[in-house]
Amino acid sequence: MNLSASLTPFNSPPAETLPMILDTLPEPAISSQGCPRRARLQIDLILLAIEALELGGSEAVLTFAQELDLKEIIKNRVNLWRMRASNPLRRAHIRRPLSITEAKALVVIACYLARRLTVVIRQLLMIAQQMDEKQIPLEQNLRLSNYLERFRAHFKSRMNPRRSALLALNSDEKLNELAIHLLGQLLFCTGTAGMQRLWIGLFDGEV
Amino acid sequence: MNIQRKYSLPNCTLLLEGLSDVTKVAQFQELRPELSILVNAECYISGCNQPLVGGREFFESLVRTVSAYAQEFLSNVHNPQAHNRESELVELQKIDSNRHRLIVHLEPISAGVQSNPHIKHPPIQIDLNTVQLFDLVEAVDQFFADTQTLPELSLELQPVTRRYGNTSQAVIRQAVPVTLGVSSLAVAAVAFSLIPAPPVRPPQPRTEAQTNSTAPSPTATPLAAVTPPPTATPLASVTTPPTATPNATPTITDLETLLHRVPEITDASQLRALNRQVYNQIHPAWTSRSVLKQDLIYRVGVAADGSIVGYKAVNREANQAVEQTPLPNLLYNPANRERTPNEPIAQFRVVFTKRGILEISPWRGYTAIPHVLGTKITDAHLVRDLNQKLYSTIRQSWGGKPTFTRDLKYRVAVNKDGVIADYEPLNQSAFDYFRETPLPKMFQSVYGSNVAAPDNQEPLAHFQVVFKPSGALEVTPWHGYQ
Repeated sequence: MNLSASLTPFNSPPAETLPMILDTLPEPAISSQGCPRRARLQIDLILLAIEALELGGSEAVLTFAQELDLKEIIKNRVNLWRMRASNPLRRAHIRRPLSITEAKALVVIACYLARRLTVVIRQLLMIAQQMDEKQIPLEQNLRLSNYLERFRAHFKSRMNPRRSALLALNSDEKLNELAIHLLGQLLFCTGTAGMQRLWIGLFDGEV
Repeated sequence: MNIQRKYSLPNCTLLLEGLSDVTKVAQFQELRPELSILVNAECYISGCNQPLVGGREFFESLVRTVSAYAQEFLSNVHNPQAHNRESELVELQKIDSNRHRLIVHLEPISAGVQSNPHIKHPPIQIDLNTVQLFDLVEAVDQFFADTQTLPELSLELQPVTRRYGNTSQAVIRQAVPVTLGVSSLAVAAVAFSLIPAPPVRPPQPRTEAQTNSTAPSPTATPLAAVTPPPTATPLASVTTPPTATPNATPTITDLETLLHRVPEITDASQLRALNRQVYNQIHPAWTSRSVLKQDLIYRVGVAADGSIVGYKAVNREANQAVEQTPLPNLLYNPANRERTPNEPIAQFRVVFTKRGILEISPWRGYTAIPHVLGTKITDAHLVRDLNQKLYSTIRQSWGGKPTFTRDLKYRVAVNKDGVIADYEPLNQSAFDYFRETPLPKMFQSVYGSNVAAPDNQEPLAHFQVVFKPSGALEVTPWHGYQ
């Protein structure tokens, strides 16, 4: 048995002060320092869907940052807002990179939040599926329409409709479809390996 | 030694049978033996009568494909590993954003197995909805996380390389020319792929001459409680991994046990507030209301934050038909977050009547008359003004001929500016006909949705509002619950 394997090497880089929880997510093999555009967009949308599911969702991000010892990375509300504003589709888009560490922290928190909402997410998806099968408009279900309504409201108030990528999302129906799709992705985040899967997926097509 | 492993999720159960390597068993006899040689793998999917069955080649292909497709689902970037028809026995195809087709070619390419009964059968196709797909992925991930079962197979996630990212199919085909650069391409790809294709309903594949293979049933009702068909042979040593499944039954669901250990909430005002919260959870989740033959009565335990922590059937029908109520799904799952131990609990009597009506009341009734929680506006002049203001707001937006035959009574709270902050139905008809009143619309126009307002610390004035079948409206200052 080689016991020394568990010891920390002396010459480890300063990065080791980062919270351990982030170690579960591997470093992507990308050349640039910050996250790719699609990753910034996707993280922000996932958080947007959580906010639509749960009142006070963005407060919950800060609470979890505290609980998971990620306060060093996500310091306060302004800091969080600036990270999310790195999403290129935001009205208030800021030309700032989203560092890999920041992205990891947001992914970890999003997955913890999603896990907490597992039951709701499953129920809403099942309701949506049933309504779809019976060809009933999704709005007819009170809970589902609450979620969709909130999602659309958040989306419209924060995203810049003039961005070419958003031109196609010009109707409530399409936004609803996006909202349901994100709900499915949130469900995947709740799984045993959901966090790793979401993380690795952010770099698909980038390496 | 024959070993079985089972990974069980609501819509999917993975059952592995195999043997352990003799040399290793000798070394660690007391431990859970390692399943190192896979003999048979079975995958039960809800709505399918028969499991997907195969050997190691099938199983490896299944976990590779499922894992790759999960990544594609999360990233919206085409993952070639999930659609490899040439070299994989299992492939997954996206039909639309909520429909995924699992295809299993049971004819081994290197047909080494003699007497394979499946040879020359058409491939099996099963259409999964997203929740079913997730349960399949989760069963696979739990298998990966289990180090005592085929440890050489573990979860290995890699981003799809740029080459594949570019030469992909449907997802990116709609996007802009490649010359715009990969990153903008990817963004566009996301934006486009997020818009699911028009809801073309795929032709429902009827059972196509599959004699002894699995019959696909794409119309599976997703809410049905799923138990794998009992074809499985009695399990010698079924061991489930310790990882929590999302919908696993929490450890303590027996209310009696729970109540012996924690204090009970008896404060009338708090009970009243919780009563509403419980109603708001169960009411929208109870979807199949016409199936009950008998009233179902439960005693339900609720924590101070409104989460349902336990329930107990009161009558026999309730015990048998619990799956027809939303209670199992609403049950708080302790795997998600730890609760403070000895948290006090309130008890409610929840009745699902056979007429489709939900009735909830405190188990022991109210020990005192409950009060509305929160600070109140007491200035008599202001209350009178608000009373008038509320009356005229409601009056203006309520017209038409009422279809209800009894008074609808609500408690409505407004802030000092007369903006609606809360409303609560007080009698059954008020629950049933709330859509006929302008209250939900008024509420929605302020808060953008119809769920409860965010915790409001400002003082409120409360009123009783009565909508009469004659079309008359009454607004009076609140004098408490009766």
